[in-house]
Amino acid sequence: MSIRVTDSQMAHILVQDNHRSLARMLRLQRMASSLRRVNTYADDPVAVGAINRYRNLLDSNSQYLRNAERARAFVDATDQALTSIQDVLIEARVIAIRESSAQASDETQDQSAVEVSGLLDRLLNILNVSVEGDYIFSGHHTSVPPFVRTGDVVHYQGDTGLIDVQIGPQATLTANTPGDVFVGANSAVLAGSVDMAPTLQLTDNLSDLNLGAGWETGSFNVTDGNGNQYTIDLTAAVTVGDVVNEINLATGGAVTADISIDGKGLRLNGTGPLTITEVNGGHTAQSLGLSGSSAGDQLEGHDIRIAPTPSTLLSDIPALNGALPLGMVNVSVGNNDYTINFSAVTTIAQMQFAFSFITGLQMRIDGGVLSIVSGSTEPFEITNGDDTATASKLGIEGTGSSARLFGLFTDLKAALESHDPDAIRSNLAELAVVSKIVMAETVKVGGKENNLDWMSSLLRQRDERLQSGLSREWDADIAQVATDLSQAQAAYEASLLVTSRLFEVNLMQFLR
Amino acid sequence: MSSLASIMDSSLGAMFAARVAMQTVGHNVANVNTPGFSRQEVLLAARRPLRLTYGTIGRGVEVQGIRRLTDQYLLANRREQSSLLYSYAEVDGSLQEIEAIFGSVENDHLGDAITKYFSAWSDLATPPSDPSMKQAVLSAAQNLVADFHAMAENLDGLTKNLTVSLDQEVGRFNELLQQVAQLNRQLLSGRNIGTAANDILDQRDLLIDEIAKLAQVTVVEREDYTVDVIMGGRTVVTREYATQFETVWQQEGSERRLSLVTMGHRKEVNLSQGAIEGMLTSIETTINEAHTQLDSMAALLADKVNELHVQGRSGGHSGLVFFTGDTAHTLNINPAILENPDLIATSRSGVEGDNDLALAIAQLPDQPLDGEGSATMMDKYRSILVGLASQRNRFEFLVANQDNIVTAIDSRLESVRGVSLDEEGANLVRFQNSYEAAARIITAVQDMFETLINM
Repeated sequence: MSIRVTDSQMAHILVQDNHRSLARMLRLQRMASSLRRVNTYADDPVAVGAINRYRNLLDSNSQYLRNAERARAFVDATDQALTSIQDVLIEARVIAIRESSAQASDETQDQSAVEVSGLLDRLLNILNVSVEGDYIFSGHHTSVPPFVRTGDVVHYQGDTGLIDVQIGPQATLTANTPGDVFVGANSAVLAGSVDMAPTLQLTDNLSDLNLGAGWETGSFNVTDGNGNQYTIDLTAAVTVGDVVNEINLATGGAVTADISIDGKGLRLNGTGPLTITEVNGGHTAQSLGLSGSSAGDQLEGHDIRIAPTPSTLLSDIPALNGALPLGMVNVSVGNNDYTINFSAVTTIAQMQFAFSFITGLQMRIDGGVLSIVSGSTEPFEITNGDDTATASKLGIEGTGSSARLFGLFTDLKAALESHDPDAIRSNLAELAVVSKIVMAETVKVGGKENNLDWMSSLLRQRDERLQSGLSREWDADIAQVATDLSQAQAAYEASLLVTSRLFEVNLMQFLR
Repeated sequence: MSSLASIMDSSLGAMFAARVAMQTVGHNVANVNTPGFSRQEVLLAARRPLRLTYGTIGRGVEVQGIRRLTDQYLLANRREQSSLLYSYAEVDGSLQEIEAIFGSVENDHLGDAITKYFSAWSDLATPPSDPSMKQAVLSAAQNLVADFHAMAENLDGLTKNLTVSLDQEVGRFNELLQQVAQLNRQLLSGRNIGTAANDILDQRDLLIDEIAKLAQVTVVEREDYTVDVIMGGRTVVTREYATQFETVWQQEGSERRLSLVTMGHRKEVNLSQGAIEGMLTSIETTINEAHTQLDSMAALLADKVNELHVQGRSGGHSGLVFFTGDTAHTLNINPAILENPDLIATSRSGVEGDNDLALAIAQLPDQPLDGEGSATMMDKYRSILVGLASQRNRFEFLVANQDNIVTAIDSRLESVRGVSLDEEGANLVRFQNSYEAAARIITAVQDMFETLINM
């Protein structure tokens, strides 16, 4: 039986087909106009989830980037402040060395005391820096300046609070550096009290003199009791031996030079009184510890020794004269007690090595003295381990206490005001320790800056990756859509054409 | 005995038959576009022959009846499939509305509001601190809460609108049932009329088609041409009697449930398919589930934020919750915080630069909810979207597929019962010719009479 094709059936099918092509065209047109492959939830449920996920990730990614940018303001300000502190510390060190040297006078020391007081204010200004109203060194107390000065005493008003910033999906970065690190809650220090500078040697380089501060090249005059004046030209001198030779040579033996008995400086011998005068307002003689006139035939120079280094032999250190060999030292850190045997050590490096077995503690040789630095706030104590009184002799007997950035300056100022070169000099060790702490913080902050740079670039890369992922899920393939669309349009037009023609013809038209 | 008069009589019969056939062709052509019309056919048969001594002689043609051509099997099948189609279409329609409420792929407003809220916390947690950031968190929270409220209200509005439409559809359903009953009555009273019943039957089929769109029914035709309509095992129309229905909210434990019951006795009807069932499913299940998921999202958000926020100290206060309420409707910002944004806590210590809580809250959306490796808050939200999208996809597919099935059956049905103008044209020529031929025979008989008379 042949299939009956009726008019309503034809109409039905054609209309249905038209609907279908039109719906397909509408979907393609939506894709073309929105440039999106997925426009409604029904288009692709799996892609809906993926798109939502990508958009979420992109949102949080840009949030991390924004956080990193804002945290950078904090970190950069901290970095700048630390660099400035380092500058101030260098200036203080220069002052301490200068004012403890032979060149210093009461007058210059008084002036320097004022300078140190100024440096203290400068430090306060540096550390009380704020970023958009937030004090960066105050820990959590960001609305109060971290340090306030009352007279010569500086108080820390902040706390140890760290401010973490989210800069990645699972990454946080501590944006701030609480100021307590400079006043001690984060590290403990035991600055030694015994001058470990080794005996002056003829082979010592002139540039290492004065604990590494060096000397001033040039000439000076020596006048003896006979009224003879000799000009000593040291422009070619390199070692202490060269200076001694030059003096002996230039005076033709009338004035002889050698190292003083205590081994700290130079000593001149000749017909007294011997008088030293500088040439052309230079400081060459001063920088060699020679100044003024002698009462007798002998002129004793000031201490111009070089700084001790790890390789310095203990036997070369005047302060340890008669104290060798060393004995035992007791160290207690927290609840742990240690005993270190120094009886076999001959150099500072060997002592440092022996110390390195105690976790968290480090023996340093800074500014001419030994110091013990702890990486934690845990208090530690060093005592003599036997009757050799080794800890006392090394000047490291006592309790580790906080780093004192401001106390140091106050002490230095007081020492300058009391014109006590030894007291002035004793601050050098602590200055060096504090400088190390600041340096360590600078390194940390530098690390944070690197971390931020790295994280920012990582986040930007991630952004690109996520964007392309999103685009893969969401964007329409325009070439494909355009092709499909023109095909769908052709199909629709064809179906319309057929519809319009089909009903034109039927048998009725052919009947008379 | 054969006579001229009997020849004339059989020709007249032929002319009558051709006229009836022509009228039927006219009727068919006239109804070529009438929905539900089944083409009609005149049943012609040779009259009982006359037995004569030399054999039997034909007496011409007679019209035995006019029948309509339809296929009850296809009709029933199409009704069943269209019940399914309308059921799916209703659910699909409400899913589209729910999608519109949730936004779109482009505009995921709730997701954005949640992200912005936690972003504001992240800004608040990042130094340098800025008092306006607390205001920003509050504003973001207000937007978030407003969005939850708007969505919950829109979902409720959707339920309300659907309930109104449902009532209208049930009203129409009742009306249709009554119309069927009325046609039954007409058929009962006009049983003898014969041909006219064909068009009534078409009309009744059409009514039952409409009923089937609303609810799946089965039809049993009786000997007296009336039909019984059976729905969910219950006879809802028999002869001229029709049952009427209404919707009621029934309390079931703590849940309220919308159901279709008979008017008067309030007997619940078990619907299997159809638009009414689709609407009930939409209200009972689809919208309800979306609402429940929205509520759980609101509760989860409030829970997680509060869990952290109560640990905080701010402005001399501690233990403050950030959000109150635990559904999309009731979610609100703690009035104390709303009044004074300074009460938003950023830390457990209450120190202004401390940000531990703000940081923890900012990290909430990406934190696993039940331990390492489990879903995060955003995963939960995403699963709601993907669930909705899958349902939309499924029902769009089901509707398109079902539409194809119904169209295919329709096409077959129209092939059987539809009017073909070509066919009618051919019939027209055929019956016209037979009419003319019969008339020609009468002319010949007339000539024969004349010959007889003039003899």
